[in-house]
Amino acid sequence: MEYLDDDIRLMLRFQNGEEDCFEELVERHKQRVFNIAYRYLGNIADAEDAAQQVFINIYNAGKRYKPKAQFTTWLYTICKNTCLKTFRKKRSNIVSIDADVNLEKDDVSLQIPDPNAPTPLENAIDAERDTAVKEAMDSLPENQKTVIVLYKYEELSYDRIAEITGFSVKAVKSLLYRARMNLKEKLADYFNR
Amino acid sequence: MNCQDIKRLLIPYLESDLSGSDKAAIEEHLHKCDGCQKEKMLLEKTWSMLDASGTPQVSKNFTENLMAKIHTQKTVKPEFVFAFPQIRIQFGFRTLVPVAASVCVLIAAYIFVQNQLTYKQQSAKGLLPIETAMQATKESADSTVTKLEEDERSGITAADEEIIRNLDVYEDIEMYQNYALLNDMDIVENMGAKGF
Repeated sequence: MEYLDDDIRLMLRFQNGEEDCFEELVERHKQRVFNIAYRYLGNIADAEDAAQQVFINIYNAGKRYKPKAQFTTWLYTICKNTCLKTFRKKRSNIVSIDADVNLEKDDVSLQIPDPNAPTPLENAIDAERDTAVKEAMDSLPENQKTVIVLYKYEELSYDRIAEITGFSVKAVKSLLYRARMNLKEKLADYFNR
Repeated sequence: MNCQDIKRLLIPYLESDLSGSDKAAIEEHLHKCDGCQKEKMLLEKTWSMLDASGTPQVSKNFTENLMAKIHTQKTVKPEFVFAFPQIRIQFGFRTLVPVAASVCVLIAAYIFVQNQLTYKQQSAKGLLPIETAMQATKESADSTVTKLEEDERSGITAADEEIIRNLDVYEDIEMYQNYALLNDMDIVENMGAKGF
């Protein structure tokens, strides 16, 4: 079956040498790819590098691209693989989750838009919450993390996630169940303080 | 359903992934069980906690930086890629070393097996005495050369050496031609020695 959405048309034109079409694809999907990378990696600099690598991989794979499914399915698959690879590299430099965390300018909490001008105390609470979420997410096994990112943040259906990850729908549901249970265990302390 | 069953079904319940009867049973249980109600609330809170942190915007010059990176990569470092239709293998030091080592081991194993097979075939055909004879001839030739060198120092000319060498070769050829006969004679002698 051939899919011919706008993205695929752009991709096919890029295959025929129209580089502008690739730039248009980047413009259309950069925020989405960046969001996913940010959820996997937890800071802006790494997320932006990973997002760029995703598009570089797409650029390099352009000649071999065949429209067998929705373009975004292919995009998500490349994105997931690239982010996991980056995350594995990064993990080797990560210290224990029990270690003190010093937030820097790229960290999650300081990137949140702050329309209500929170007090320093509120800032501290937000930072603590974000750190707890980041640590809980980082502690998940890769497959569970992938399912959470795609289900929770990208709001994809079980079927789409199954298509992207190559798991069965049943396996996706099972991973989601275990991920939620793990997150509950990890974050329960935050509510019990 | 007991509390354990209910807790096991809470996530599918929250995901609206349950049949009508299970859903009704859970709702009924939640009304009268504080423990399960607490568990449900904790699941909901932790789930919504993931939404609390927002996602920043990608940088404004993302596309520009990306295209610059791609063009730099294209001009400076052409990628060495071995591509099948669906498989993409990038060669690097880490890939090549194990491959090279494997090839060496395979070649060594092949040579060893071939040698073993040749040896077995030759011993089955009774050719090994010839090898021994050839080895002996080679050793003899080496000693002859050494002797000739000594002789040369003692006044023997190059023409003399040539004659001596030819004589040796003729002797060797004669011996190979009569190898079967010589072999039979050895066997007869051995039989005599053993008292047959």
